[in-house]
Amino acid sequence: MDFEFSPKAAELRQRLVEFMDERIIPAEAIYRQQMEASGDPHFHPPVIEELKAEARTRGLWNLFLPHATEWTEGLSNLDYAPLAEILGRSPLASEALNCAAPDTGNMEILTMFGTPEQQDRWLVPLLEGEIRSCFAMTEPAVASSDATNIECSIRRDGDEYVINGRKWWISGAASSRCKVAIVMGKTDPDAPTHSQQSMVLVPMDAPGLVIERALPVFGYQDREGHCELSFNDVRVPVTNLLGTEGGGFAMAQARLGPGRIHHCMRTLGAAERALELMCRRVVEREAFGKPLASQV
Amino acid sequence: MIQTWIAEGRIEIDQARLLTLYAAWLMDNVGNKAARTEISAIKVVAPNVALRVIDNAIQAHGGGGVSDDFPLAAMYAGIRTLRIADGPDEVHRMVIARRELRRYAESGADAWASSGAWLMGAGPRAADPARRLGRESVLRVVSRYWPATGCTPPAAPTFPTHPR
Repeated sequence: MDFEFSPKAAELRQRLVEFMDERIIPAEAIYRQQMEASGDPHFHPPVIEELKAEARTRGLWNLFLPHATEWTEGLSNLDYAPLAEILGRSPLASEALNCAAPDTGNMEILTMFGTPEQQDRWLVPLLEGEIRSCFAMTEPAVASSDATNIECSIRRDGDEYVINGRKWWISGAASSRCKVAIVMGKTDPDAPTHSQQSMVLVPMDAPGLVIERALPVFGYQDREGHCELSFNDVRVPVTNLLGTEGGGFAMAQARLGPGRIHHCMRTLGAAERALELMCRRVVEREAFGKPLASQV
Repeated sequence: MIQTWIAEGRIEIDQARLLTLYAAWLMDNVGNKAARTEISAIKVVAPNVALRVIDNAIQAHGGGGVSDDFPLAAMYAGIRTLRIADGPDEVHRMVIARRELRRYAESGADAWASSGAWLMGAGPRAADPARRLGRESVLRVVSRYWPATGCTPPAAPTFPTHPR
């Protein structure tokens, strides 16, 4: 095995490092000012749209898809991994390149399982960075670490599915730009354990879908929100089914594979930044007559 | 103390990066299913490594570290959620342990056969075409376990029988 950067990855990496240094890192202070001035924790600051436009002109857009599609060339997991690490250095970078979760996983399953109509309506605007999305699986009432516990009901009624249930930790749902949820629930509670679940596409403005609250993490409100949602007799046409009835569990597994590489590399990028901050700090500060860096 | 934090941070980040690149390579060359152990492994390793590094960085910053003058406190909060989201650490450890143990549990199969045979299209999971891989892929996977021996299986160990 060979972990050398491919020529393609090396070239993208160089372009991304320049973009980070020239635009993303300097934009962090502007981002903070715009967020504070708005007074709204779920505000969409204009600097993000400026960064997205700039990233696109630099050819740094939708790099996350591991397979070629009619919209993207595709980049192998090994080629994308070092780019994801660089993105992890700043909380602004992934969204600027349209490579932010949970949209990345959602776009991936829409390319794999979406019908042409679903792709026109949801995938294309997601790839264009015009809208955002969320993925609703975790539930407050059951141990969702075991996804077979999911209780949300998706019941067929004529040409519609009727959805009832409660979800939480649905990242991205507080954003006014979030237009669609991929909802996992049970279409057939009597089927074999891993064939009970299905996924449906639910517009965020569907009647009966309520954003109950945005949950804080250690007191921090996320800009995109980690929300609790309730579904009260929400109706969508049967054409909003993603993939097949009973295929939800397998699709959920498929959705997480490449996403794990993205998350882990971004996390390591954040760790690198923390290590860098620590080194700068301990070289600069002195205690007990010598730099912190020489304290043992 | 502080130099230990810095050295450990460098070691652990580089270890975690190599493991993650290895998982990415397996996904690209062998497939997502065959890389499941490694995918679970990085999901456990990366957030834990990052949290240790960030925690030490917070300590080195003193009061500044827990304030919002530096990004460390927010980074810690965000990354702490990743030990829970998309499968908590414990579920991924369970996946890894079960796959490791499976190689010893299949009836009549020694470690060699149970680690490779199902990939070749034999064994109880052979009905699933997604699990059948070519011989080259199998050798790539199996050679991870015996990399230096040209994939020669080790002799099955014999254990002493203890009288009851």
